[in-house]
Formats: sequence, structure tokens, C-alpha cells
Amino acid sequence: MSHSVVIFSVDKLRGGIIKDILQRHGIKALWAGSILDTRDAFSTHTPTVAILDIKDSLAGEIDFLQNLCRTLQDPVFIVLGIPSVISTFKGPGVHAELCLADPLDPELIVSKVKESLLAKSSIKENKHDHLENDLKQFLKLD
Amino acid sequence: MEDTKDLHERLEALKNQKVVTADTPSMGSDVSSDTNQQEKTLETPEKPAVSTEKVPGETAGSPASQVGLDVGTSHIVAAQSKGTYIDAVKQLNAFFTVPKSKFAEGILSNNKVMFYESEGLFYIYGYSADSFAHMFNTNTKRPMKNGFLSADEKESTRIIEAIASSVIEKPKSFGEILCFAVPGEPLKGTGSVVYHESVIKSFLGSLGYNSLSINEGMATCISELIEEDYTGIGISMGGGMCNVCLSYLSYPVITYSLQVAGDYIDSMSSMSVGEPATKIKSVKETELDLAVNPTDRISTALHIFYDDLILKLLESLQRVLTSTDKVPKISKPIPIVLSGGSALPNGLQAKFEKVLNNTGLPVEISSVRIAEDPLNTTAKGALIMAITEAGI
Repeated sequence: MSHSVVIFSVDKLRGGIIKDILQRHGIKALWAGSILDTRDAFSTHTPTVAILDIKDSLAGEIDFLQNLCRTLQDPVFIVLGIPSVISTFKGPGVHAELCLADPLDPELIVSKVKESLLAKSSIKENKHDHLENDLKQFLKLD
Repeated sequence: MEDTKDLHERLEALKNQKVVTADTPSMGSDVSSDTNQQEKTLETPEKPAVSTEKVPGETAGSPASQVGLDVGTSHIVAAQSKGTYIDAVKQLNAFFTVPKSKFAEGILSNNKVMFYESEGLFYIYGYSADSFAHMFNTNTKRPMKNGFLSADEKESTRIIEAIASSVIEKPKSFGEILCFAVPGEPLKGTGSVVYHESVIKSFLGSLGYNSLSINEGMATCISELIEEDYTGIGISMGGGMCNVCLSYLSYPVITYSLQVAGDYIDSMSSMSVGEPATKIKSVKETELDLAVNPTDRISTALHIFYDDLILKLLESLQRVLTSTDKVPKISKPIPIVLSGGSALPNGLQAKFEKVLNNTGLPVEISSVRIAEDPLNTTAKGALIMAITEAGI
């Protein structure tokens, strides 16, 4: 099953809360509680948004997630955790406005995910429009 | 990878389930098998609980569906869904010993008293123990202390098993789901949740149940916070302890227990006014009105120690909530629900609100309310969890 959002969190409660609140807003989400689960989730389908909750994560897990951000350019990454740790989390797809420091704010996460999904879908539409215009011009349909 | 339906989804599904119900429930009968049935939409969490006490000689039923079990310091309550209502069967969690003799054995057997023999003693348990204690003008003993299996009583596990067996027998089908309530980790004090939970789980497994546990405060939230999407604070005020849970969308974000509750009020009042704790307890359960100014020494002491208990609860809540980073931002004020035997006196809600106004919590509180049926709230919450787990 493909999900728009994949959530990495070693904390079952935080992961569950984020998944629940997203699903209540009609956004399909998958929670991965370990690196293995995350690897599986990304190997089958690249989500539009990846929420990386690095609170209580081990150094090795953080390294893996940073590598993931470097490798995958497509998803929007939202990073959660305590301020001192998220400030050191770097990656090409990691933007400061999407690094949300504790306390966990489920409503803010929903709004950021919605914005990200909307932005991604409008990019897709634009690409599609460009393609359609190019095709129309080529076929001299206008 | 968690891709299955989680608790919140299953609770939502349960809220909307259709059950077949009979018009007039009859106590002890299996209403779902009644021929005079009509189909109604009934939300299981909204079913009223019909409470019965086990009388001596009456055998426990074999559950044909899921069971919720509250193993409390003062009572053990088993709840089952029966059509339009929840059948809650209650037994006193106490015992009394008499020396073994042929004469005593004859009397106990003739009166259908529940007892067993061990090391030269007859262990009389349940409500029968209370009657015997009155007869001998003394107090019953308890297999549980401060919410946990008592380390002071070497027979505590066997007594609990005997008492629990008086409210539930082996299930009709092996592997039936039973959810039992366990205390939260004590904020201060002693008691191992792991040991307590494992012993009960092992016993229930030996009966043939597929058991799971629920935090007692969480059971209050599951039972009472349907309208609030299971978001709020549930406080189960029992005999041996108070269990606190902050639930967010059915997730137990904060859970802990305080080993002060009804017994604390009784013993402190008893010490203060020099009356037996049993007398204090009796006044508390039959006459106490916290909305009315006290008129005698006992009720004055009870008012004082209720204030003290509420203050201890709210101060602990304030400390826990301000020192944790687990609580998510909650956009709306949340309710506090009080359940358990110590939440019964009239006027408790107003007293709690008054102390709350002077304490202040880091989360905004919308209201304070008493559970619909405080004595059965935990068992009902555990039952809802069992039904949810069964995926019905």
C-alpha cells in the first residue's frame, strides 16, 4: 500500500499520535518504528513527505536518516525533536522552516504536511501543464 | 512496520458498531440469545453498567465474550457486554483466616462460604470474609496493598486467584480476550508493576484467557472521554492508590500512580480523631457530603483529608506535566474525569475544581466531572479495550 507520508519515530506514542492526527485529516500515513522498517517503507515506495522524529534516536539512526536525506531528493523532509539535536541535523532536503522543535505540535505538523503535499502536487500540475502546452504547440492545436 | 489498524481507529469503529439488543435485559441472562430481540444502534462505550455483588455460594459464570477486569485494592470487578447493558460483577478483595477445624469446616461449608485451606488455616475470602470479620469484631486483611499484590501476605497471589475465580471462570472458548487494569508506576513509594502484571497475566492465561493489560487511568479515559476523542485526564481514585493518565487521541501520554487514596483518608482520619478506620470508612461511604460544612469530628477529618488528597493529586500532576517533554501541544482545553470508589462523595467535583483553581496546571482544563458510574469505570474501560482488541 502506498502512503503519502512515512513517519520515522522510535517513540511509539509520538509516532502513533502523528499518524492518527494525519489520518484524521485524510492523509494516508505509515509509521516506521525502526531503521529496518524505514528502509522497507522507502524501498517499496518513495513518499511525498517523510517525517523524521529524531527524539531519543541513537547516533547511528540519525546518521542513517541524514544519509537518507542526501540520497533521496524527492520527498519533503520534516524533522522533529529537541532543539539542540535538530539544529545539528543537516541534509540537502532539510529546511529550517520544516525543523519543528519540541513540544510535539500535532496541528502544526498537519499544516506543514498539507502545505508540502499541496506544493508538491502544484509542481506536478505545472509540469503536466508545460508538457500539455508543448504538445499543443507542436501539434499546432491552439 | 505498523500498518494495522491502531487503537484509535478501532475505538472509532467500535463507537459506530451495531449490536443486537433486547428490550428488557434480565440480570444474569444472556440477552443476546433472547428471542425477543430488535436491532438498535448502540455504542458499546455508552451502555450503562448493571452492578451485582457476588453472594456466597454463587458460582462465577463462564464468559462467552470479552471480559474487562478491574483488580482493585478493595474490590475485583469483572465486566461483560450483555446486549443493552454491561454486566459488572463485584467481589470484595479481602480475606479472613480462622484456624482449621472440623467444626469450622462444617459451618463454612453449610453456609456456602468461599474458603480454602492452607497450612492449618482456613482462608475465607470475598464478601464472606467481611461477614466473618464483623462476627469476630475485627478487620479483614487484604491481598493487595497500595494498588499492588501485598508483599506482607504470603498467600496474596493465591487469594487474588481465588477471588478473581469467584467473578470469572474459564471462558467458553479458549483464548477469549480479557483486558485487566494495572496501576501506573508509583511517583513515590514502592511496588512493581511488572511483577503485579505478570502474576495476574499468568493466572489468567492458566484459565484459558488471552489477556492484555490497560493502565487504570487510561481505562477511565477510554470509558469516559468518547465525546472528547479520548483526549483528557482520567484519574481513578481507588482504595489503595490514585491512577492518573493524560490521554491524547487514545494514546496514554502520561501515566503514573500516587499511593494515597481512600485508605489514606481512612487511616489518617482514624489517627487524627482516635476512631477505628472501619468506622471512618463507614461514615465516608454512607454519610459524607463534601458540599456541606462538616458538623462533627469525623466528617471534619474526612473533609480535611479529602482536601489533602486532592491537593496531593493536583500538585503531582503539576510537577509531572511541567517536568515532562512528552505532552504534545493540545489546541483545546481538556477535561478531567474522576472515577473510583473515592470519587463517590457528593461535592467532590466542586472541591476538586476549587483546589484546581488555586493550583494551576500547564494544560488548560475545560471541566472537571465525575464518571458516570465511578465504581465500574475501570472494568468498563478494560472491557471496551478487550472488545476493541477482538476487532468486533
